[in-house]
Amino acid sequence: MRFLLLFCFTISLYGNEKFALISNHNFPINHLLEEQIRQIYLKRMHFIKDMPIIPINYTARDPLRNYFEKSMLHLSSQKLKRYWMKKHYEGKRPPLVQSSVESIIIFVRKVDGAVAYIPYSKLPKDVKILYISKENP
Amino acid sequence: MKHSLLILLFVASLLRAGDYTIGSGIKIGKLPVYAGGYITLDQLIRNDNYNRFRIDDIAFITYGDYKRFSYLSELEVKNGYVKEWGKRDTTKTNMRLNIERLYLNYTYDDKLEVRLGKFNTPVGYWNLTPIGVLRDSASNPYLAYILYPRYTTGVQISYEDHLNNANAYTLIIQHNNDLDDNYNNIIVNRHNIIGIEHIGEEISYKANIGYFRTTSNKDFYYFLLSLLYERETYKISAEYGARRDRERWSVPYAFYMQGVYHLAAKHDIIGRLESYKIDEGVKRHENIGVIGYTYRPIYPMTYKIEYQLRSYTNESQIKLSFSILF
Repeated sequence: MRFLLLFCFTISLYGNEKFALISNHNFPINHLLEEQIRQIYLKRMHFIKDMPIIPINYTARDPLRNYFEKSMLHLSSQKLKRYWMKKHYEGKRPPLVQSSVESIIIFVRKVDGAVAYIPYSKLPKDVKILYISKENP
Repeated sequence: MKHSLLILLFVASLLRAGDYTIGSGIKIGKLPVYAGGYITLDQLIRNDNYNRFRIDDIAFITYGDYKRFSYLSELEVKNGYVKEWGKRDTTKTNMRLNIERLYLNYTYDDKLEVRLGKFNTPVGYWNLTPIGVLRDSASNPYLAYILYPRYTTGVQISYEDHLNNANAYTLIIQHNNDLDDNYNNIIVNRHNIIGIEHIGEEISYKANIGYFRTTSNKDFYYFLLSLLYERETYKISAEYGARRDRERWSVPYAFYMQGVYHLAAKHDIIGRLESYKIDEGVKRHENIGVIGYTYRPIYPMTYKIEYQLRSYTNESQIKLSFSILF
């Protein structure tokens, strides 16, 4: 029971937290629309002003990833699994995966075109903020 | 059989790889190249005492990209092992590795893409995901075999504005022989198609018209209208088309409508109604009702069973299948 409560607390702490989408300062624009983010994470949008875009994701069971996929991509995990299996058959890959916020921030700083969402509370100073999610109820 | 064994060994090695997730392929070394594939086994039990077990597909896919270019190759052993019993009693093996798809893509920008090579003919929805593990039912509708060549070797130009417009446009031109004549339902050396599609969140629909010329110099024209409606718990797809030669409608109509209901996680039930008429060669006019069940213990693996009730009642059958994407 204690474990279950702790699990629910963790989900609510990180899963529904306000997040920001970031890039490094070489990113060619200063703001992304929700629909652009959706297209980038579904790998339908590959370039912005000729710069290849590299979306970064968390591991499959990460609560923030689950929240992001539901709120921004509007797809259930079943539909996403089906989507990426079909894409694998078509020769397309899902976004790259990094296991922690820290490694994602390092990747985004180093690689031009990389974009990633991170908890708002962990925003570093030396990145470009492309989108901030709304406050969660 | 040697090729089949090599591919099976490759699958076994994938399954042993530490960071591998089934159904997602594997990266080859440090190159931007990925490999995967699929296997389908099926069994038929027909009313007229024809029974068949076969290793239907063993396919090996590689793909990769570099800047604006990407490629995909799919080599397949079709009917690698076929055992028939009852009405006939035969066992056949086939070692031939066919080129199912082989193409190069150039992404000009996010709207315009050019493809060159052999690819699934992009008409309708069914023909874009023709493999066992991706489709919901154990069998294909007849429409998918009789209207158009399932593969095209040529140039495909696609235009789709993902952000501002929900429409997509496609133009395909084939003016040459098939890359692998042994692997197509209709052998052609001309195949031109135009297509327009509306892509919605839940509902998408598409219209295609096409022309092809067989290698025996016979010209055919066809059209196909397709619909896909998908909600969280169910999915409906339907296609209607016809084909004619210079004199008459050789396939006056072909139609199917399929519903999939997600009964519970991992469990789907499927119903399909089909009808078609062929007015050339061995003429046929048939209505088919299909009811099936699909179990996915994990998403890239399916066990399916279906019963097909057919106008030619001696051809009514039970079909069982197993497929896996790796």
